[in-house]
Amino acid sequence: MNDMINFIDVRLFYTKTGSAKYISHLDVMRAFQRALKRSKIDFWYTEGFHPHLYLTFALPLSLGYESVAESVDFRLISPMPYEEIVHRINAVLPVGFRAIAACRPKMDAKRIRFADYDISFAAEEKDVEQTLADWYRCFDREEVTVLKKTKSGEKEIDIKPHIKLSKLEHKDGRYCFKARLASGVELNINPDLVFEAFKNFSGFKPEDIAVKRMAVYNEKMEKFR
Amino acid sequence: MPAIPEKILSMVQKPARYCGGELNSVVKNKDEVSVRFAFCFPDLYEVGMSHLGMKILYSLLNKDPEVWCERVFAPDIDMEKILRERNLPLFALESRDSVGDFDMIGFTLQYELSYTGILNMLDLAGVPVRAEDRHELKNLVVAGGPCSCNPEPIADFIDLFMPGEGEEVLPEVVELYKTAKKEGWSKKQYLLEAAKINGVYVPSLIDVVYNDDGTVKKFVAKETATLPITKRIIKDLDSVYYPDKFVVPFIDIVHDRSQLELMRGCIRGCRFCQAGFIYRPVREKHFDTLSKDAHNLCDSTGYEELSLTSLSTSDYSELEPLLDDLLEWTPKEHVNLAVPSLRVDNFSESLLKKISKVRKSGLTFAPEAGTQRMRDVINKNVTEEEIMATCQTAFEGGYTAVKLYFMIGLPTETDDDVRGIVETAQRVVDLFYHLPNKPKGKGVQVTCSVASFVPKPFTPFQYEPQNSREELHRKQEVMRSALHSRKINLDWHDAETSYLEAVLARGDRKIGKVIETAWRKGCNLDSWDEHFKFDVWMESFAECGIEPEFYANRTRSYDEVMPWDIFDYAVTKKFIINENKKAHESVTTPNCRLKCSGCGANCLKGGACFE
Repeated sequence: MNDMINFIDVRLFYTKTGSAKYISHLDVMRAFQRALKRSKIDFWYTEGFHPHLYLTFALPLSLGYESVAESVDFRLISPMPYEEIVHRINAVLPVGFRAIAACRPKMDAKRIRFADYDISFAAEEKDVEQTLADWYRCFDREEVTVLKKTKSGEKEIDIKPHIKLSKLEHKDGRYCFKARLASGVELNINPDLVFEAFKNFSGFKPEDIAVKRMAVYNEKMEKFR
Repeated sequence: MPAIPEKILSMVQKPARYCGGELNSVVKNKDEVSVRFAFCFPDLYEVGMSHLGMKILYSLLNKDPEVWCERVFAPDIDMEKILRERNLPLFALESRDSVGDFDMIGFTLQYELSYTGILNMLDLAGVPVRAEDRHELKNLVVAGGPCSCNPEPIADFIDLFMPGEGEEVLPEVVELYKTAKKEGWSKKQYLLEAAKINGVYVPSLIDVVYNDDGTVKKFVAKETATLPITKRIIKDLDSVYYPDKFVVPFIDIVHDRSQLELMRGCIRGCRFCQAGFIYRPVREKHFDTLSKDAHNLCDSTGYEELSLTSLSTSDYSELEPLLDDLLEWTPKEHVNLAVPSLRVDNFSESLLKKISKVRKSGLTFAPEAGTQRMRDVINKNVTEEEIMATCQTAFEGGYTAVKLYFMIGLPTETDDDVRGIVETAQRVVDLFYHLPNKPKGKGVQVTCSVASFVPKPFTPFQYEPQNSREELHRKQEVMRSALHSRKINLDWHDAETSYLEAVLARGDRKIGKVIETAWRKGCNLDSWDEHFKFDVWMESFAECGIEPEFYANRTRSYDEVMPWDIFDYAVTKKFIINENKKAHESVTTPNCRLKCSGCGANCLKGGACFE
């Protein structure tokens, strides 16, 4: 039935920053449904018993994280220039969400393998040298095992092969680092797991963690488009 | 600097309740406004954000460039714990500034069980809970909403009440505040002036004198105050302000949709129903106004559902043409229509067809009582045949689930009436299985939601005793033992909650210290079963030497002065007493459209309710 209808697939890239980080993934989906509806663009609706605006999000973002590399797919029933789509959607998005580009989807979201994050956390009054030392001793180990919650219960996994961390820097009262983590449908390493591993090792649970997703890649390390 | 550090938001469940930034929320520069108004709803975000009155008044106040109205809700337990531990104040969502920084702090009084929440919110804001302990003009605490028809139980805590509808009186009160602030008035000076505004009640300017038996003897108006105080209404609903935008929450709230207000008041005159009396006279909006409002709201919110709201939607005189209009464009724009509050007696087949065109969901009806005699007593002018006919129409239209609302503990009720509830439900079940064209392959599910009757001010039942809790429990047992079908789901509200509601609804000023005591002992969010602490409430009554039975379970005579007699709610006492007498004779009163029974409310309108 679907191939009878001409619709145009569009992928919209957007950022989610500031207090929008407190909006959960489920609520983001609803906010987009409503925002897109307000834009009065001709979207394609599903054809079930309860038709709804067709939306798919590539890689759900955890509550509390910011991102400059979010994407959502939808379908139009009549063509519209990509710049106009971006412009019209920006006019209706809530504060904290900003559309940056739109294009024809070039990769299946199933191909997503990695994501980059900028991460920082509050420096305790604890000895900085000690924390830095603990951090490196933790992540320089051969194996960094941690309990990961999955749909079928908890499972112990070694995250070492799936994470790549930059140097941990201490500046302005915070520790900062960059992380490249395995991401996607097959294996998803949440930044929280990194902290979980650190806590297991050092007994120190960092506070006031700030995470911002910077980019998403496929298996060839091409940016997700 | 906002009062609230960003990081505490990541420490609570559902941070979106507290972070603000929702679509259509209003952010102004606090240095460019002269009055900051904190609109407080004494319950959680999900409940408060569903409330239409708040949406109207929020938008209305913010239309004035000199006023910034922000929203404040009761924090959930986890957030409250963090605020108290870290000594942080309760804050408004838009600016995240402390509520204690606001000029005016307004509470909406939607149900009696939210009263402790008011004290808790003031306290969290660092504002003294008792009016007499607040000496400055700043932090003036005002209140309105349906429960302000008897504000006496919370008169110790609130500086000024606005009974009736708020769209006109609230801006007047705020305007006076602007002057007062500019000219440096004292709080007392402001209250003396405010008391001159039509429909404003300043408790500190009215003394209550009691009889030896504890009932009210009289009220004494002091200084600028006069008695009685007449509630305010909006005469013409077509010209009154209605928002073209709603704040659209991120999280799922109780009523997450566009709401279209069709009318105020109700023509029915059910004798238990407070809304049916305090919102008189009936006024409708015209179909053109509604059509425009509906378009505006759907466009500005993106909501996928539009609900028609009123006390009795099928009594709206232009309902069918309105539905025709809405059904013209809502399906194209992927908007579902929700039509709650339908009456069983005028639920026509063509109406059912119209609403089921968009979406099928469960149907709810409120027969309220299980026997015809009982329905006549309460003036619910609905017959068994009408209930059955409506259910039949619904079943034939493909519905298989029906929800029926009932009450127990009504005046003159016998066990036969109580069993009648279950028997009515059983007949609905039987009806389903005897239908030759019933929906195939599905069973029927009849849910009976049974509330305990709470006598309310300004209703003909304001004189009636509430059944004791023991009696209510016994009647719940009577229902349970009369139940023989698994197709019927019986659920009831707990009698303890209704008992407290009865005390607070018809209480006087002496109840204030009980509310404060209960709150100090930890009562808060009482309308939530998981937070309701009945034993603590009973302890508090005992400590204050107040007998709750005096308020809940006593028959009041027609000539007793009621705590709410400070107000003129336009319906005459003569009418209310006459309705009470008719109830005891099982005599019904026709609805207002059939025949005017002369309740007196049309004096506010300056003419007949219906041509």
